[in-house]
Amino acid sequence: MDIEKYYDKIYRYCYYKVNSKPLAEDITQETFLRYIDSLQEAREPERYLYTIARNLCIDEYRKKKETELLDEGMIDGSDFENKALEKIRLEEAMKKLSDDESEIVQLRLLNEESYSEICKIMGISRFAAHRKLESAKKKLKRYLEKGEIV
Amino acid sequence: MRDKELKKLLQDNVTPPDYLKKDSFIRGHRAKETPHVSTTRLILQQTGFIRKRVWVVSLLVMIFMVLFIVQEMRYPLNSGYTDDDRVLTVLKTASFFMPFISALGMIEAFKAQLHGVYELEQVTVISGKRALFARLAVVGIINFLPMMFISVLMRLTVGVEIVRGALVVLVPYLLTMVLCMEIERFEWARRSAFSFLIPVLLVTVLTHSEVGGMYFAELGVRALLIIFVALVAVQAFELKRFSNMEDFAWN
Repeated sequence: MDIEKYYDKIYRYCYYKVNSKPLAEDITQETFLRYIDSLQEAREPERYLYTIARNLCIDEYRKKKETELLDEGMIDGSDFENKALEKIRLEEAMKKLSDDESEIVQLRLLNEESYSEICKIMGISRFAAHRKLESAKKKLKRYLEKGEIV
Repeated sequence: MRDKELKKLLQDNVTPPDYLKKDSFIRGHRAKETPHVSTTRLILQQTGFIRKRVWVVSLLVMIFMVLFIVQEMRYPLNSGYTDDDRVLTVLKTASFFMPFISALGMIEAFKAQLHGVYELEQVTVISGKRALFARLAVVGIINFLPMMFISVLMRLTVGVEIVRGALVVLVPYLLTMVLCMEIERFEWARRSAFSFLIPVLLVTVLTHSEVGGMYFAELGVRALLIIFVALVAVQAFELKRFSNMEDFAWN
């Protein structure tokens, strides 16, 4: 398996779940380690990687109730306030989504996975995936533009 | 807000991972992922890639030497052609073929470089240097056996000491090998396998010319042994340098 190919995708996926750079990095690396240890070579590594990453993120949630800290990456920069506000709004908007919607947004919009891949990862039909994504996008846009959620 | 903008907003919101941490993790696990190929398996694998002509030439040289020695033994000794002359003729003939065999073997060992696919070989599951060393080992074995056969044959027939006979055939062989490795570094030499003829000609001329009133085949065991040890040391140094070059290329 080409770790380089999946590293960033898994990292981004974890980042939105745990909302912390060091934690996302740790979980990403742990995901690959578990994958390498448990499986010789899967035909669809993405599916396994996302599943492992999701489970690890859930474990992390259980360990400590997430305190909403701003990421250290945001501290630098002149437009700190704007970025911070944008980040908070986006995170708020993501929190308003259901688990499935949030998951599909991360897979499709963030990691640009194909619909067929998303269907395999989430175990849903192509139609359901499309519907969920459209609904999630609508909610996100409305929240980000008008500050309200449907 | 358009989908594209939403996507960009989501993607920009992610702080990129620490590059060094990511890089060291990937490097560390790339090595673990690489399947291990044992040396024996690698040598056997590379044996299959050695072209038939290397085997055939080794066999032909062996046959030629047998016929030549038989012919020499039939030739009557007299005051004009003594036993020492016969020994010298046999040794000269045996050493004459060695640069050719050596160069042919080196062409085989360095074929990845000659065909411009060495960089590709470096990134396969076995490293380029391991593949090269395995090929050198195979070629060495293929060539070593006839050389030893010739040495024993010379001992049994014309009575040349085995060590001397072996050194007389080994020295030109090793010298050609070292020179081939040297010229292989030049871009022009890698363009054609015929460039390996340069070391062959050099060594042939050197071993068959009279230097200081003496021919190479006339040298004593001690002198031959010193040359041999020096060549082995140079060869080891060359191989080490070759091995380091790949590591430098990676880094």
